[in-house]
Amino acid sequence: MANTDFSKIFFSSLTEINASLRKREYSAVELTKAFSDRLEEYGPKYNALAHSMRKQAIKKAKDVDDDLKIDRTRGPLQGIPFGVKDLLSVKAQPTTWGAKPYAAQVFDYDANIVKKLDKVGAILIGKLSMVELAGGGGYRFANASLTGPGLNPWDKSRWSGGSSSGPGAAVGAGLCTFALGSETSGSIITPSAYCGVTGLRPTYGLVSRHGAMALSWTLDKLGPICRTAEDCGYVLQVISGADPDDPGSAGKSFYYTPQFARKPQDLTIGYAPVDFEEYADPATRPAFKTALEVVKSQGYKFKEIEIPDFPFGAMTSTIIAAESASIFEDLIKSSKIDEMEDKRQIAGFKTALDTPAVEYLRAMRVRTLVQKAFHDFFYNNVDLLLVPSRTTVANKLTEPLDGSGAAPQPPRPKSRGLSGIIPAGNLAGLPAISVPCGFVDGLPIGISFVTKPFFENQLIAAGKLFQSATDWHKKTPALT
Amino acid sequence: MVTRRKLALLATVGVAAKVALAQAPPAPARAEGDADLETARQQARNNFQAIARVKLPRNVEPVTTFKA
Repeated sequence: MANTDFSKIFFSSLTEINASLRKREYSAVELTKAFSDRLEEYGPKYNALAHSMRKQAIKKAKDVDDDLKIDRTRGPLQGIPFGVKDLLSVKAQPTTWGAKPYAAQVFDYDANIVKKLDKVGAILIGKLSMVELAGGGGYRFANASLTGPGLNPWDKSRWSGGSSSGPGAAVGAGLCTFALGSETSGSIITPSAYCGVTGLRPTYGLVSRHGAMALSWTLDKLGPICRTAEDCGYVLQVISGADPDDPGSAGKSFYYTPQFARKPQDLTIGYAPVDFEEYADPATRPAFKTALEVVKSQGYKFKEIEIPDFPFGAMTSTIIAAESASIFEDLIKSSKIDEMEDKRQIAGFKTALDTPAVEYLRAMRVRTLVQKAFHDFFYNNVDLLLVPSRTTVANKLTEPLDGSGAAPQPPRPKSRGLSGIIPAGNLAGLPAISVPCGFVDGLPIGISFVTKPFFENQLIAAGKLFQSATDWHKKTPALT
Repeated sequence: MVTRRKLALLATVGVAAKVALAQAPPAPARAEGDADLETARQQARNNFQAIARVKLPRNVEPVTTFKA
């Protein structure tokens, strides 16, 4: 094979790369070495890399090349280099959960979704960094991580977002073709928006949690962070499915079927102008307005709506507190908790131990009402929701994330709009996709589509249609 | 008016309280003067109060085995 200029390939979609591999334009070994070199060079510069797996990856790539030589094809992920958030166990490799108390932790098994990706020939090239313990105690600063703050590929003085900070940065910087992240409340959507990539949070229970660090049993979800919505579809098809090892498994599979996507003319999108015009930071409003106009031009029916009225943030915080305190009880009661980086997070976990059962149960009872409200919402009102993924660009690294260092905020708009959709969607187990939709002073922003449980094909179709009319997802940062 | 019935009830409640205290796990040690801990505790209290304001019919059960 001729010498390949891989600089043109680092930001390609997985379908483009897979097609090139099948045409033998380059080998899986050459591709893996190129991506591993890039991940090892730039991963540490962006605090995105927890642990390189070059050696194992090249061995796997040789197997893939042997398969391709005899046309033993395993699907569109065959030969594709990917990374996983370092809360997914990989046999005999460090799995640190981003936290100093677990820096030497090694499991003797692979997480089930890692096994699934291996079976289809995808090539795991590295464990990617994350916020310590996925931020469950509530963290104040971006450096709440064993590997330091995730740095944004578009501006190193900015955060890559969390808690899937490594996956967001790695895909954004073209260090791997796709990554697996996780979301309890915002941790796929946020880094995807901040790093200018496409992230999909699946329906709760669609993707097995076996082998992933648990932060909150009833809120945790694993999902893909990719370059395109279509790529998310291919990855989700592989990683989804029933798993008896996961008590939260919904027992359902997902098949990516773009050929059956409903026409936009048959769908109603619910949105709230107040989200784009008032909740969004003033600097972002022109870009969000443009993005909204693109979606409106694509044939959907539109309906103005308002999110049901519940204390979504308070509920997710209480549920995460109670469940994480139980999961990490031994850590919190030991002195090892004080080894963690973020003081606010340490305090949050310690306080979580005092969560009264009756408060947790009240939150879980109100959650039943939330679930019913969104069920009624989608079956009586709209097919999709559309909302800014985040209302600001990525934070500066030195900014407190709790808003305490910010300038005084204007009064809150009277209408709720869809503000609170991140905790709300997670409480109700709803899937969402964030797609890049513009830039503000060189920093990416994203919009999210949200839909009812198990309708991921509808989300992916909406994201794909948006990406067919825009090129924000094709922009690439200049790394330093 | 204090009746024998009321006195008996008070005695029962008093015993029950003592038993409950004896059975309750010891409270975790708390660091004094820790601003982050106090912030976290206050935030937790705020959360509980916000959730308590939701009108919750008695027959609504918790989503303890959550399936979407």
